[in-house]
Amino acid sequence: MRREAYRGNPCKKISRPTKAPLSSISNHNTPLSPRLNSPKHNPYHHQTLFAMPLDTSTYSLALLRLDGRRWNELRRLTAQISTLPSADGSSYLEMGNTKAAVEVVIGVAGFAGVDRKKTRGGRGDKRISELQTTIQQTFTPHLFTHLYPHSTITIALTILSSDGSLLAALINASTLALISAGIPQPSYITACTAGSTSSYSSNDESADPLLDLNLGEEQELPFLTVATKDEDEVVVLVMESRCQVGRVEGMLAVGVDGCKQVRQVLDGVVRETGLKTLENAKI
Amino acid sequence: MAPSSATQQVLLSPAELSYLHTSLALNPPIRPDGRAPTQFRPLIAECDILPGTNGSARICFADGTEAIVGIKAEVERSRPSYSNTSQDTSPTENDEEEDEDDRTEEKESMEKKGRNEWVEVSVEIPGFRDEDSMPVFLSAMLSEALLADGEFTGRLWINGRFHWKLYLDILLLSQPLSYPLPLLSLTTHLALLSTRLPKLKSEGDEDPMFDDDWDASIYLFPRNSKIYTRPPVTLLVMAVKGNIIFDPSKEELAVAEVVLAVSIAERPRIGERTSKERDLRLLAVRTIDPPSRLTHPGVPDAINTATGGAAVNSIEEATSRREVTEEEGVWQPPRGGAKRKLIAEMIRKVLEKGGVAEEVLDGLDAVELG
Repeated sequence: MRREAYRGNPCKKISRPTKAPLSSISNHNTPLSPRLNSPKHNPYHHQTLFAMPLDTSTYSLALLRLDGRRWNELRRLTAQISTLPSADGSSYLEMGNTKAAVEVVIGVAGFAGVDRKKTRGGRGDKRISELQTTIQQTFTPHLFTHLYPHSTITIALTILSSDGSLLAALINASTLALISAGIPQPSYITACTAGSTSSYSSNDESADPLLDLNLGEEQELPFLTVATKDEDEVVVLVMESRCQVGRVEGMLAVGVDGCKQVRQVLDGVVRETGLKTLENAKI
Repeated sequence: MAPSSATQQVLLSPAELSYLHTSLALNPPIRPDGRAPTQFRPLIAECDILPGTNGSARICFADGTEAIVGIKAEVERSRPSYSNTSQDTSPTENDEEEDEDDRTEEKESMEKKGRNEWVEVSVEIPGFRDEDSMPVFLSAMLSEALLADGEFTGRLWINGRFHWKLYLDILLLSQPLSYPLPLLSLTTHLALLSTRLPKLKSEGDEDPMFDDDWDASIYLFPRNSKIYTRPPVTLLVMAVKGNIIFDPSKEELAVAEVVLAVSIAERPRIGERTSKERDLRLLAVRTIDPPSRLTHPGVPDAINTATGGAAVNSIEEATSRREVTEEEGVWQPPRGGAKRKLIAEMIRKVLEKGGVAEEVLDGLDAVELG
């Protein structure tokens, strides 16, 4: 829940873009108590609230995931650009409960994960460096950098809350921030995750590919992150979990389609902000 | 003294600095943006923005600085305390029920004391490493204000063997354009107000068990409890020649003679707040090194060859000559400290009824309580 207030003189409010028109069912995961996943000295009892994210019995009955989504529905995606007036370009992106803000320097806030971890020993520097390198290699050949000779474009990312689709959210936030900064690029690079309901060894013919996994699903199921440049051109594909090779094509197709949906949402945000800027400029 | 030189330097010429200083020294002072001396700039505040935390808040100031605070709590085993807790509670002859209840309550409230190490504050500022002086000073000042009343840590007590460890992670998202202390303090206040802890289901000293229903969780600073308390707030106050100015922008700080960081809180009160007034208590006062000391001084006519003066041979001579001249309109970095009466007046102005502190606390309450 979010509450806004202004003191003294009325000031500018943060405007919310239109929510993604695709996800009609409310997509917030049931709010698990933040400490429920702590492995060390866990004095709690594991109640049935913390169920397996893809309990096969319940999924095949209603084809609904734990948060009520179907296989091809995205989580709620909200984004804003030009959030930081002090930076050249900035954006704020939420994919479900994963939130990232941009002004490839990645910082993970201590409160981002389920356990509170300080950056140093936290997510492991290797994972962060890998994310940084991936994003750097994605954008370097894509942007028109020949227009900025002898300069560096720095993307500083802060992870505020990680709940799955981390790389995808970071790539989407970076795209928006680069647009907000006015750095020319030929198209949007948008990213999304896709997974499969079948685990590694099962020969499940009816396994559905899933779109946009949250953290619980990512820990249990094979998934991949895909980013596309135009309708069909894949620029990033990261898969770190094992999966039967026959499933990969289905996941890839679903992921590319999800990227298309994300592109429509982000484009809407950019256009709306542009219209507002034009209106404010009218005398 | 806390360093403020670490924030970005304001690049103003001596003439501009002198102009600013003169207009702030007038009676009433004229501020560059036309505000009254006690008027704050508008800001945007929201809380409960991060679902994975126990409490969170975000505040954006009008000059573009932005901060996010996330609070997480973890159950931790308490270290056994070896203090002498034996009390002579020999039952008296007339064992009224009231007396016994009082005695057990007293014993409980004495045992419920917390320890300062149960709260960990960490400040992250872009461009600074964790060991640099600025983040260390800021986190020390914020935790000092929080732990000053000695009763906050008592809320983190679960039972004799376990307690909550509270981690306050304060992120400054933008570059530190001006001294970030008031921004971080207000954001921390809001985040603490929105912090909730799971409700305890177990009893006594057994392993703690909590209610899985997040809606049953209890606020760290309960709204409708018998005892009304609020977390502290730290404000920046500056003075120029007897004029006391609140919420200084970075240009105003560049010509300040005295800068104080004042931490205030409300006294815990039994029962609901009956009147609109708050009972404020001063927790800490710290002097901040004003950035005006690092500005370039103006060159008086006597040593400026362009105006017929004689050039000086060395920097020392220039400095000593400048110390003698006290010309109106020539900017000199402020030397020396502030008068005691001025400091007392600044503190009094912060705490006065219907003044700045009450306005700030009212505004923050309105954000969290809707």
